Amino acid sequence: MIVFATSDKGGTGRSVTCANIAYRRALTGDNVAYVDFDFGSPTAATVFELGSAVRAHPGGGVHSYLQGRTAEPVRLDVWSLSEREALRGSLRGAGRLCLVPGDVGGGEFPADEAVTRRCANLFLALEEEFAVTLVDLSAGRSYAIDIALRTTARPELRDVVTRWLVFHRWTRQHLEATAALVRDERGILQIGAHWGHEQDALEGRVRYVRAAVPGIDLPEQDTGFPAAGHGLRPEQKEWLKACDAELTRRSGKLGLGRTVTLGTVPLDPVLQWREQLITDEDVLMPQIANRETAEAFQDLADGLTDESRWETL
Amino acid sequence: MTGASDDGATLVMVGEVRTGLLMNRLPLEADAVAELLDLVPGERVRTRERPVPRAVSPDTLYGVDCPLVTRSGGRVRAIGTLAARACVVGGRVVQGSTRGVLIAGGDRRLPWSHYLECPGVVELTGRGTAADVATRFLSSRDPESLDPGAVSEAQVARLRAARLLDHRPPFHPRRTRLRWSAVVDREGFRGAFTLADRELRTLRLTIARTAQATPEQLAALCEDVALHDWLLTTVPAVVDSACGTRRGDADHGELRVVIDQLLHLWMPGTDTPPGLGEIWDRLEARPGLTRQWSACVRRVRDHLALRTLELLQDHRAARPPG
Amino acid sequence: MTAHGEDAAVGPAADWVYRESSADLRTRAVPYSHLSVELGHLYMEDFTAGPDRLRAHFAQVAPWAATARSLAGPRRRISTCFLVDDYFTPFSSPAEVIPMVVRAAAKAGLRIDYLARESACAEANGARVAPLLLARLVEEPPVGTASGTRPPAAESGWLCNGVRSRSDVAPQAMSTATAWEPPLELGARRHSVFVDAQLWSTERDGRRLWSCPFLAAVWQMLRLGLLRDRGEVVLPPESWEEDAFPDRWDLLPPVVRLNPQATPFWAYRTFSVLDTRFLPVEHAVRVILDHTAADPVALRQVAERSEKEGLAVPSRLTERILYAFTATGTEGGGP
Repeated sequence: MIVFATSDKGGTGRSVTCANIAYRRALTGDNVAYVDFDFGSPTAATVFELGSAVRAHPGGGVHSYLQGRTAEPVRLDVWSLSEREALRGSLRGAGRLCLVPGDVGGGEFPADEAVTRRCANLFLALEEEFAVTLVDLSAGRSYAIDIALRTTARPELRDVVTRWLVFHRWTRQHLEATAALVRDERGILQIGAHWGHEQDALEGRVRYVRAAVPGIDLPEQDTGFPAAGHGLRPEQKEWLKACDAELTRRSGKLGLGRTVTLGTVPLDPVLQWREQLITDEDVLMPQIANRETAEAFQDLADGLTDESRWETL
Repeated sequence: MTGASDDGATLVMVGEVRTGLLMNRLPLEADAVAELLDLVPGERVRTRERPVPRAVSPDTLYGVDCPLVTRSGGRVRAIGTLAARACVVGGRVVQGSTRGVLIAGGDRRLPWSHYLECPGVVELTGRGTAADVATRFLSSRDPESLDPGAVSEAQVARLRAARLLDHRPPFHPRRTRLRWSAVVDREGFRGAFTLADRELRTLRLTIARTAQATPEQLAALCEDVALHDWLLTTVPAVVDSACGTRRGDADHGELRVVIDQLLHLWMPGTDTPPGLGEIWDRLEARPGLTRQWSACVRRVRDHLALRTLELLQDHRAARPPG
Repeated sequence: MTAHGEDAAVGPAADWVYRESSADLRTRAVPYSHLSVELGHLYMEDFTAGPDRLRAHFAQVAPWAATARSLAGPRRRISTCFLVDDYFTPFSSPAEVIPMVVRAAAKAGLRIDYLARESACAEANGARVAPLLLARLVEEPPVGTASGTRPPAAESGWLCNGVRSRSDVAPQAMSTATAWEPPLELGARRHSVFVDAQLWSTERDGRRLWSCPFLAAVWQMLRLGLLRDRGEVVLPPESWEEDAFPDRWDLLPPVVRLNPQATPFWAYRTFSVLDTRFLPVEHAVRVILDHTAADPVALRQVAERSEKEGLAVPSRLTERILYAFTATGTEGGGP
């Protein structure tokens, strides 16, 4: 299975969320590959703390591979190469977790037939060895999305299950922009149809992830942190609740409602300061990260293959 | 291009074999395999039914012109063609195999047609013998130097994209790479088989001239070693994880695939001509491939027996008394 | 394209052999003349110019054919052939064309042993021919190619003898732009004659149309006896037993033996007398053949046969092909 992750705007925590989903999934025993297609700013290596490993292979990343400068992109095994102690040495029962990085200093580039063919080769090669391949695409109407749509329309990828996760924050601006990215002119569905996808089927493979959602009602003792509503006057709390309700209504109208949302990631202080993988140790001892965050990541990881959540409505 | 019977000339070869699972839910039938491997119009796929079904595609040539490092650290230039082919064993395991015979060349690059007269031959210009280069080849990490592995990967990629396949492999084992070098010389047999990391293995061979090995036979031998190494890398890992799961948790999907589709492929030495049989003798002595395999197979059987016992117990416990 | 057609199950001194027929691969051998002389190549514009033009053509060709015969030496087997275009612009019919051509040749003292249809170089009787040569093309690697995995000419439809000036790499955003670099003929001494030959084009209905140079290269390989299709001979000449030739080209065998006493169609060397307008085409043919890895078994068969006769055949394919270019005053360009 190949899962593409994108968003209209930056700042949704897409990359760090996907990295955490990949991590959780690998813990359950599946082999997982994470491909950094964020051509404008490939930074996944930071989340996995693979900086030196990536620097040891200059010109060996996805950019160089797609443009024909190298025969194969490098695959970095997180368990053995990460600079973070907690990730070293794979846990019993965990599958492989590999990063296919972008090139340091690489930028965006347009696709042609040769690029698409190499991309198809890469996706198939990963599908052979990895049960789940997460592809982190650049935000907005990018060449990366174009390449992804064009490649997955090719006949050799017809049998491979491909799914799309579109990330957005919980604000009116994000909701509108996200709906436009998916449904409007030159959006994902239209461009997908242009390259040969069947539009309804493609839409059925898209789900949304609400990212960095501030909690309003969570009592302080559960999180250990002041909730967003803490210290507010009752009128302010009422106003926030009304906002939330309005956003919920709006999301339904725009086609981003609960039924097509795969999950919600709460706003987490750790991730606001540092983009990293949240391990179970981080949640339990000491209690640095929120339990809810880890649970949200686990839920998303499970949701990737929970067929009931992907049924077309 | 002649084989080892060249008087006074040693035969030096390098190559790389990549082995993985064919991207199909079930093993392919023989006709489908022949169609899959029909990669070169006008050439024929070679197939064999016994003892294990194996089919080999015709060769495709790839031109190269790149540096190579010798044992002493000097650089030579390699110009010529690598010969690559794909094999499918049991309709289940796919291999991309690339080889090149290294010989001494002149000082300059000659017209391209010269290199096409000897397919699969790479000429070395510069100071350093072919044997020096072969030694260094196995440990080379230089991305610019000769890369038969990339050509093997291209062969496998060609098969992967075939419409004939349903692209739903039953499980996702790791691929393995076997980088090899062979020198045919006056002296007797010497060799080293190394597991460099989880994916890469190296095989260094020195063979006596009396073995009369041809380049194609050497390549077939390395493909055979690579296949069995892949089986030994893949199957015990599946068995480990199946045996390691707690009672009641077990999902035996992967184990089932291994039992149904992979166990019968263990047949070392099939493609080895009599003169090269010594290699298998050595591998069976150290590390003892078949010994490990047999232990693994026994473990599978015992585990299944144990599981059956557990199921019977659970069944009996679930039934109401009387 | 195996370097050896050997069966791994047989050892050097085996008293027991196990064989499977599907692993047994044999390549048929053919007999060879010493020289194959092409007396002409007929296109529609040549035909519509009338029998006089044909006679003038053969009158020009005759002295060259005689020279070739004397240069080849005494008691040499020499066969002649003639090619008719029924691929690019089919015209008339065998019943009309063949007797006319044979008469015109006879007037100049020439005899046509074999007559071939150009479309046969593309495909014949449902069997593909041109793809056999395409499969044997191996592109020349530029310096610094460690694995030669760039997409081959078989996909792009173009074959060149060096490095093209256009970069294969799409420009990246915010990268330093590269200056234009001219193309380069690989292996040139100082200066380049860079050739980029089109091997085929795609018609509007999706059909592939092979180019004149590519079919001409196939034609040379046929005459040299180096093409095999799964071990079988490609387009063996056939006799036409009936009195009248058919009225459609596709009813005629791909290669017809007009002279029952002719020496073999295949030869160690070829010699072709062509109008100068074909010079660029034949240059492209030589580029194609310089990038052809011929079937090693077929090459070995030629070498063995010629050695038995005490002859040395050059190993390079393009050294087996000779030309004389003449000008018969035709106005039209190539097809």
